[in-house]
Amino acid sequence: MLWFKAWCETRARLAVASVTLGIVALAIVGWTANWRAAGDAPQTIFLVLASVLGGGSLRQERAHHTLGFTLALPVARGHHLAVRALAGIAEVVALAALVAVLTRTPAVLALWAPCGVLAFAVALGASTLIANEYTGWLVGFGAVMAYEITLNLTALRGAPAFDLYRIMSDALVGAAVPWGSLAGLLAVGVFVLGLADRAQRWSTL
Amino acid sequence: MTAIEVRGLAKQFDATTAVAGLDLTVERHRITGFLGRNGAGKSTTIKILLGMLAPTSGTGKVLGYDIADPQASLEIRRRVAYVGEDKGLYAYMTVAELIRFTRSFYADWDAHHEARLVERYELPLDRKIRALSKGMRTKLALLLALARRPELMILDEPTEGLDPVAIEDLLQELAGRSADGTTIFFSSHQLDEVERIADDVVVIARGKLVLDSSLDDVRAHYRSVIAGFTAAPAESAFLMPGVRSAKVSGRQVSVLVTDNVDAVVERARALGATSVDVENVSLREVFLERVS
Repeated sequence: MLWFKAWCETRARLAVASVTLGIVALAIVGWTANWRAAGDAPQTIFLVLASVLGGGSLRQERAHHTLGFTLALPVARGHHLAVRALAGIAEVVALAALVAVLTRTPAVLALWAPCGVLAFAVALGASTLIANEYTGWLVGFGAVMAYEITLNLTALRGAPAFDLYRIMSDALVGAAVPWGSLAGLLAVGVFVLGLADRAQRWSTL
Repeated sequence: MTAIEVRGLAKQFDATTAVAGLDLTVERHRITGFLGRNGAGKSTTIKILLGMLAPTSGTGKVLGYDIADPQASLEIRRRVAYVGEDKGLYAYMTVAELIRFTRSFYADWDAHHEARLVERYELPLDRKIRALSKGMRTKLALLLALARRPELMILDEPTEGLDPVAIEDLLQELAGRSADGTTIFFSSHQLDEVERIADDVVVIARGKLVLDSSLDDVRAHYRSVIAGFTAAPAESAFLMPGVRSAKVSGRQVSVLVTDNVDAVVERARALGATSVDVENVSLREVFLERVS
């Protein structure tokens, strides 16, 4: 039933994200007619929405006065986080699949889902440390953006293996799918979730 | 075997000491009232017992399980029914959804009793929890604990927000559960409720134990000596063994006494009292004396 709780907590955000990405996908298909013309906006919107799905840790339940009820359940804190993470990852993959289907571009699923999972993981990790839900979203998305900006301002510029936007975009306009980078992103996402588990286990909620 | 036993329990929040070396024993199959002023450390203690907070120091066992062991803590939460002080429930679920959600975690859930409680509390199953009144939310929180058949119930201010009929109903339910062998440990500011159903009473002040006794012992040992004077003496005139407190009000002196009533009566007469009465005391008087 923790899955049901996770679904209840995220379904409104998932609905908003689905509608938003649906509009974005239809605009790509019907208006710009190709991915190159759409620029980075679709990817940015996707990463923002993936970050928004990352809110809602145990720490943030305090603001809703439900933390006591949740912690009194015979469930380990790590289990709470695992269910929340797996539900969120499934939702991120579903959003990527939605865009893939609507744009008739199957590669979107493979390219966007790992990047979205990373953004989601960072946001969920931030939410285990930050009590305010909205601040958690901002910090999560801000961290992803800061990474991207740092990448573009440093010697790593021109290293497509580390560039989220290039990973999400290049293969849509003819480049080979960067499987190594995608696997690396997923690994980093899992690592961040592991850190979040540690942080939550040892923190005073 | 005791239901709850803690030794030297302490919890520090930055510069604030919430619990300061608490020693506490709760016997099985009894109703124990857990009393203290706001901020005395009652809720913090309860959260530590349930593994929701880690103690800064000290040890404890609940139903024989070590509160510091994460696996044992899960077992404690499986075996203990708990109602928290804030009665916070998931606002986005309906009453029926939350009951179904909670039921899924406990093997000791009693579906028949759940149905009876839903009817008795007149809970609207299809209504979202965010749309419930405070009293209804409290009733639902109680249902989620009372629909189980646990060994131990820990209730943090369970009657807060309830109307007098619901309070009466709850007190009778708790008394019945105790008669069936359930141990009940509950905190409350309503001393008359505690006095009505509790077998034992534990009082803490500033995170420390100041009274741990059966109510029968409290009633047997405490007396109030009320002496009338033409000119009342100073309170210090009654500083003697067995005197817990003395208060001068006009020409009357009230002395709260344990175990040395005759000597206090004699002292009052020696000081020229025009009248001396010895009365039984309420839990309220004992509580006020202990926490002041």
